Amino acid sequence: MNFPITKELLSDYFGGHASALQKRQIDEWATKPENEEFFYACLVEWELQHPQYAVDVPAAIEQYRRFVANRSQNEPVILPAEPAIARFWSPGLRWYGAASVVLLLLVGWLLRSEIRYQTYATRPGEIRSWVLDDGSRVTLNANSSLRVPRIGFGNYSREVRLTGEAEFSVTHTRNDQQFVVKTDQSLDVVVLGTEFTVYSRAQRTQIVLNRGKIRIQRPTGKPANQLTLLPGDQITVDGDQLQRRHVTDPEQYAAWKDHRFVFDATPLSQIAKLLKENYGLTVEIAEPEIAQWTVSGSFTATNANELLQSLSKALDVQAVRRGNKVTFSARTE
Amino acid sequence: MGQASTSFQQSDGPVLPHSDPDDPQAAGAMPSDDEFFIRKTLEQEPERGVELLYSRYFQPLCTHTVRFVGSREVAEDLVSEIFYQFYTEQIFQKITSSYRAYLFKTARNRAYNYLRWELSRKMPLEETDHPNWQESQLPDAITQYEELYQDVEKALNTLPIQRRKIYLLHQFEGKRFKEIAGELQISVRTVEVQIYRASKAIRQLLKEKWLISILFGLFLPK
Repeated sequence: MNFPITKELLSDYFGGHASALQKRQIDEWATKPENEEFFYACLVEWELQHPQYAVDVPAAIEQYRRFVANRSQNEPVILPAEPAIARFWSPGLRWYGAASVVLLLLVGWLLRSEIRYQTYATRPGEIRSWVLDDGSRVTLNANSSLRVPRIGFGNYSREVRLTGEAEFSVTHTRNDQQFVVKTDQSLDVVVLGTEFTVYSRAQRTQIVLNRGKIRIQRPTGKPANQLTLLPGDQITVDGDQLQRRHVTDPEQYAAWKDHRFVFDATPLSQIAKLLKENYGLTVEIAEPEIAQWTVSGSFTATNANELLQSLSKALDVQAVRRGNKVTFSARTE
Repeated sequence: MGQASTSFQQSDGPVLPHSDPDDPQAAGAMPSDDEFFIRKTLEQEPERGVELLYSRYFQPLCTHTVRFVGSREVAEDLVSEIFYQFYTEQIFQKITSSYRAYLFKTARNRAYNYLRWELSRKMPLEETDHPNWQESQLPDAITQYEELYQDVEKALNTLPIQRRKIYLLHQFEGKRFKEIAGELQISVRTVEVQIYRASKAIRQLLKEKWLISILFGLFLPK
């Protein structure tokens, strides 16, 4: 009852002229692994007969050669020995050629990031969540950005770059693909399926692990260039200094997710930094001694003004905001 | 080394499997000997071997991938990545099928994943938030690939002629709004609006049929 699957039938099918019944037969036929080769052979032939456009194959090969040459920088590229090209490739032109290759690479490199990466970013005061292509969830705190490869993410690379603060909930993939968070401070977090917070802003990087297991990687040469974290571990990196500490309540480091701010004897000077980082506010502290006053407790604030209000109450200071500038001063009785 | 290249060049060109189309059983079972020289070259000079694969398959791979993704640039990027990986990870040492089957299968998977990503990325979070999301879930029926790119084509054909033209100039040829405006003697704003409407219409058409399966990767068993 089954008719043979021929090249002609497959050609019809590729072109969209196969009937539903024929498609069903092809489906069944294609499940047999021994038919695979014939299927793809016909597909190539059909594609060559019905091209969508003329592809610049020599340019692609040229690009591939540059890729290979770039990979093995010191090894010379073996060019096909064609006399005409060899003569043209005189020493005088060599530098010119090398320069143009470098230039091309540079231009490609510059455009690369726009083509290759998708950037998720939050504005001052904004907190947002996304689900990445691999099912992992990321929540960005205010004024942060995350760069994710557009193509092949989750398939053969899960490497993201973070500036700012984020909480990650990473899913495990079937092929055990690592999830790597790169930070500007030459520190990588390698994830093995887990929940954690990364803070990486101008001054310092801090990582707190909620659940699961992660590994910290730093360029070799620095002390402790690889470190495995267990739940509750907190790592703080300040320049070359790496500090490890155990915290009892790792969740509080992701409290910002719910617009909650958790302070534990935190001095106003540090809160000033937070206001700058999260809301882009410039903070001025009128009297130097106030800068040392500390706050403890959990505050809920959906915007900068709410937080300022809570702070001024808790510290019993005056907070005056003008545009993006805030001044803290002792209350005048 | 030079010998390997020369001996290949004689058999290079659009050599296709000269199988007997009327005997699919035999053809399907054959270990594709048409890749013999490429295999030999890959063993001795992997770089050169990959170049030979480029000359033979890059064109059909790109024209096939573009049917899914709609953009020449994206298609060439996706296919190039496969070749790069093929070289850096020495995949040719691991595969048991023909290079052709491997390359096309991989390109179709990547194109499919790309399209899935493209369709889902502009959706609000609540809709994309589904725990079953897995990169590795791919169509289990081969005809779904053809159906998908044919639907892309159909969606394109539903567009009004001028809109389709603008859309193709932008999406397929990768031209900027400004260039298109200059070429067609229309305003940049018009180009913007037309492209917006076109992508919305295409997205809409594809979503109706493909959204559920594309998002959740749950292709119903036959």
